[in-house]
Amino acid sequence: MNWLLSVIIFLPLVGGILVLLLPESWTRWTAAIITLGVFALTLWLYFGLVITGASFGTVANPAWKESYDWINVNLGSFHFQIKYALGTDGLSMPMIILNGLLSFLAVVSSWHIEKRIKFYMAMILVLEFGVMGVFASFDLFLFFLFWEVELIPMFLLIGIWGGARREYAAWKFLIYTFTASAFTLAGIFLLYFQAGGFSATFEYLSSQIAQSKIAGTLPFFGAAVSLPLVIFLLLFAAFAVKLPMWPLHTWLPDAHTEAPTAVSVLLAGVLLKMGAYGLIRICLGFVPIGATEFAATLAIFAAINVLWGAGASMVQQDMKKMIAYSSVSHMGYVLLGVAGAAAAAGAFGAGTASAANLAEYREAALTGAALQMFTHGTITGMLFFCVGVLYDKAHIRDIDAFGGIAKRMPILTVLFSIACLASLGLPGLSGFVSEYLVFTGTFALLPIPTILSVFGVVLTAGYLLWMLRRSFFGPLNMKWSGLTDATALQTFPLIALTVVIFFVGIFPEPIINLLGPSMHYMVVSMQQVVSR
Amino acid sequence: MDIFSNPVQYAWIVAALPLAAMIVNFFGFRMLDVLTRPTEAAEQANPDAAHGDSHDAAVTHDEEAHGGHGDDEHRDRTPFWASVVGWIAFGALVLAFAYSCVIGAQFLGWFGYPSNQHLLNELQSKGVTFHIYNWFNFGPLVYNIDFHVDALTVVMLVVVTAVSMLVHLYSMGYMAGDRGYSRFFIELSLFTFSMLLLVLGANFLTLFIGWELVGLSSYLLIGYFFSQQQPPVDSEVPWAPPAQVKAFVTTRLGDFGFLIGILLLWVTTGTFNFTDLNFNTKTSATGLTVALATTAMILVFCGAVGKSAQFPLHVWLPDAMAGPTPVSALIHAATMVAAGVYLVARLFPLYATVAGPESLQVVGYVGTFTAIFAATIALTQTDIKGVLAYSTISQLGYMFAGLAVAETNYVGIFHLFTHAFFKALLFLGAGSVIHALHDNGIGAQNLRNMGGLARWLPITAFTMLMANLAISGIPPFSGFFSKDLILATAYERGYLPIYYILLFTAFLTAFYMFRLFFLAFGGRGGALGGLWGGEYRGVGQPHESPLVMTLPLMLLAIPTIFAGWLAWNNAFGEFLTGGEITTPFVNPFGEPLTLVSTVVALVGIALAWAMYGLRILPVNAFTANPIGAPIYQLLKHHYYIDELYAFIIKYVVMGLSQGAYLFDKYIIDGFVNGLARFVRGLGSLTRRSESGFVQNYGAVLFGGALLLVIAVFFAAGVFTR
Repeated sequence: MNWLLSVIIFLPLVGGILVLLLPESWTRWTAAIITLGVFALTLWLYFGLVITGASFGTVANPAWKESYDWINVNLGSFHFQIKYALGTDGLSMPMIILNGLLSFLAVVSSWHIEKRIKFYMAMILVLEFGVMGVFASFDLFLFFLFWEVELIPMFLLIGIWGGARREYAAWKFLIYTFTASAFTLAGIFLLYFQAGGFSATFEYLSSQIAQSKIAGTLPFFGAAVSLPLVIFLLLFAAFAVKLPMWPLHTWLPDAHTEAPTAVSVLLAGVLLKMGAYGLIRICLGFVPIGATEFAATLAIFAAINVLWGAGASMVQQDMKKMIAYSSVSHMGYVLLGVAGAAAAAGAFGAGTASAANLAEYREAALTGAALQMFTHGTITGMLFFCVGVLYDKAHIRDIDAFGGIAKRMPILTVLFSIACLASLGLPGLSGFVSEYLVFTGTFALLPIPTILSVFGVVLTAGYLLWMLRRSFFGPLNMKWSGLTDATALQTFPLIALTVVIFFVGIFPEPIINLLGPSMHYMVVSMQQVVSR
Repeated sequence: MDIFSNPVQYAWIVAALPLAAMIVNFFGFRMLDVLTRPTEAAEQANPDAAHGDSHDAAVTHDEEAHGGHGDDEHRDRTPFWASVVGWIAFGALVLAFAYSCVIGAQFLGWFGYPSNQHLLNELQSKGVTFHIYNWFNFGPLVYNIDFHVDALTVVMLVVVTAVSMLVHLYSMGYMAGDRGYSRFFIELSLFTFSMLLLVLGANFLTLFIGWELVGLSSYLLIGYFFSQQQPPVDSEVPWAPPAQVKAFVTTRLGDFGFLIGILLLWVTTGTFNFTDLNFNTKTSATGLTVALATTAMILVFCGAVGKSAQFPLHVWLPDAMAGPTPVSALIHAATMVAAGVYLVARLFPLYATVAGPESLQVVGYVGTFTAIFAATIALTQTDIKGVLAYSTISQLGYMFAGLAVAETNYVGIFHLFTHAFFKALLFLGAGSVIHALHDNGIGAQNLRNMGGLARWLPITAFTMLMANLAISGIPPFSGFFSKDLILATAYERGYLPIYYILLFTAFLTAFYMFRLFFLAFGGRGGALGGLWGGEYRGVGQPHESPLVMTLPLMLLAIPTIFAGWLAWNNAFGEFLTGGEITTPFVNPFGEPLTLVSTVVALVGIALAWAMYGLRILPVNAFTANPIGAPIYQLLKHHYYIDELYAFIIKYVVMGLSQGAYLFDKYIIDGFVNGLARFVRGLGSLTRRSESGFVQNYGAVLFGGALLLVIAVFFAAGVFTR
């Protein structure tokens, strides 16, 4: 099946058009069936490989590969070639599946929306299309194209269906992302030409990187700056905004707070992961020398992200804004893991178990970062769904305005508590696995930023449990005595995500086996380049 | 069958039993319980059946403010499916306890397997490790879920399952009729499972999972009365919703150090495995220097400080009384607080042989300081559970001191072993008293409202007297042996400051425990000089608890009285260490040193007797003077530590957090918004080109990026190369 990835990408787009064409009474079911079908296909991406025993692929040898010539311009010595190249490996496949799952759940949880429902569902589907494209592209330019495609539906979803300050939030989101994209595009061109200017497919780039094509310095107003570092930073611009990395994060709390529930879920669940994905796939994968030079700084930013985000969460009154800041905090662990994988040298003498270059610790750190992308997507998605349920019932999200509502909403309380416990890294739930991996990997290389980040775990427990205590526990605030529990339809996405969170938390082996080969390949090839 | 001929092979069954009970109950019988419950409307129609008092909520129920019926409310009978949940949870614990005993018997060689004496010695001294399942590996870095069973594990298995089993039994009476009955038993099962996972873990990963789950379970159980009204501040009764958060976050603060310690050991040795770390760590061959090892072990001890409520992270334990009293018994005796002591005991070879001596000194001095610190607070508390809570903190300090001063870990662990029984007995006894008085409402836990209860609660009073004698260290009760072992070891190994401080603490312990006893059960006009019965200061008619509650008290009294003899001829120590104890056994009854500690304890008892029983000394003998009064206030308010922490949280943590948020809001966003305004100002000059459509921005973006690239390329000299 050489066309499965194309189907997964374009089916949502077709579905979006279909939704617009069909009568409004069909909208919800059409969207639900399309997204469920896409989700089923994304699962087949995984199980199809498992059943045949095929490899999950690496960047140099992706699974489900598709490749067609698209644009091929020759101008003198310049070759400008864009291929329609698709593929997956361990890094992208969990993201594709996650996007399939969350898009479906987003449609289910948007059942009650009445305002311009046709256009809304169409935009959700177009968003799914764009995000699928980002994760499935195996050509740098195609990647960037999809990267920009995703902006439009997201801008409209926040701008039309958002809260009171939706226009401000939508524009802020757009301008931040656009400005940063300009730098990234510059970085992409630079990378393309430096790597040979022949092809921009990921396989080609990774093979070129192995030959250390990107090195040397760049004269910059008389000073010599490292060329790999420049390319790394240019590329990183858009990813840093998307992740988001401090101090480029302030669009996120606004966008999250104003966006409707399902959009917040997708924003936290998959859109932030595009930044992390770009950082790992492109910055780390194709500019390893630049990554190594920047790693120590990146780790400091990671620690700031973790602590800053946690601190800002602590003082929020709006539940959604609190979770948005907790996303900032948790994405810091991704940054930390990447920094650990790229760090220049170990901090301790080589232990008995570790090789001289600490490759295994790097692998653990990078796998942890990749896993954190997935676990944060499910956990934070679930948190946003929970807040969404509460908001639908009460029409406010002010933490202190509630009180003791566990009495009235026992089911939501249990599920919300599970999400919070997963978020604060309780063992047995998925968040612990990824955080533990990041810590155990990175500590060998960057101990001080790791220690600072570990402290985030204490703060996370503080603000999440404190929120639960203020909103759900204590004597019932009589104002809410008429509150009813979550409906079956509202509970469905929560249960689905709970199952995933428990499964990954208790049996992490399957997903680690999925991530493992890609991460291994990445660390090994990175080490080859850097140590040369 | 192998399961009986070589039971240690199946030690996982012990942990699996409560887990299975929890799962079956959660998905099965709890659901049935919830579904078959009378609806709220039906209950409101019949308020008599639905309304009552809970024992621990200790809050008068104001229907107006309370807003409906909740899990903390009491009904006459436990619903059928709820009692099924209770019986399944209890049954699983009975089996788990029985199987733990079978494993223990195998370690004693009673099974004829392993038949070979050499193999038996191997089993006793080293234990066996079982692979359960694999998480993932990265080359030599292994993340496994493994179990390890050695003598220390067996002791912990027996203690945990025994105490937990009796707490389950007791709870059937204590919690009878409570709305949350089935939830309570599910959480008890989770608690027991977590603790068993913790003690079975063969590596830091497995132990840490159990460790955190113990934290979760205590969070859930402390917050059992989650919808409780805030009790009046002067009642000294903690409030459940904040207490549960405090317990979790405070212990997490300790876990922060613990995790760093684990990481430090992990990156220098490449393993989480206790056996490897304990017995194969050579500081020369790895990146682990002695200094790093010492640092790591002190950091690991931070985790123990949190979980075992040592100074300065002890603040959560007194508040943990907000949970139902059986939970307090479980937390204070066998689970949770025992975890920290167990951790240090488990890693004892690392502390004693790999790390520098400073690491154990830190353990010893923190423990010793906590022992006297908490004992002084306990002198002044009037909440019956408050006295017991501070006595636990103090006794845990003894355990850490015992670990630090001895050559092997058995001195500390033996005190953990005996303490588990008498502290469980004390808490369950206190629960029985609260149960007897719960009609009193708010003051049911306050010693001021008790007195003379021995007359009505003879079984409770007698068993608690046994426990009091044990904790005070009176021969031949169990606490005497274990406490004396710690004192004697400290003295003989030259830790004189620790010895004298702990000796003085023993005096304080005897005093405050008998103060509690006289205030609750004795008093003016009672028999035996005010020991038994006397003036009752409460209201209503107290009553002895039902057999389901007194039976666990009587059963716990047996080890409380006799368990100390297990240390005779170093038997306990040799079992635990699987070898000879180098220090020869000294008969404690023939020791002048023992005489000293016993006399000290007796003086404490005598003083309490004189003040609270015979009343020949006025109660305010020490506090009604200008020196005593401020000290009394200081102790009464727990040295104002809570206030200090509240200050730090309010002004430092929240201040910094607020600062971060305001920085975002005004500095970063201010900059961004200002920039936007500036650009818009420019834009108004070129209004005609602004179409407002996203795709035009896209075109501009693409063109701009191309220009940028070309500029960079020129700068880089690409075109001129």
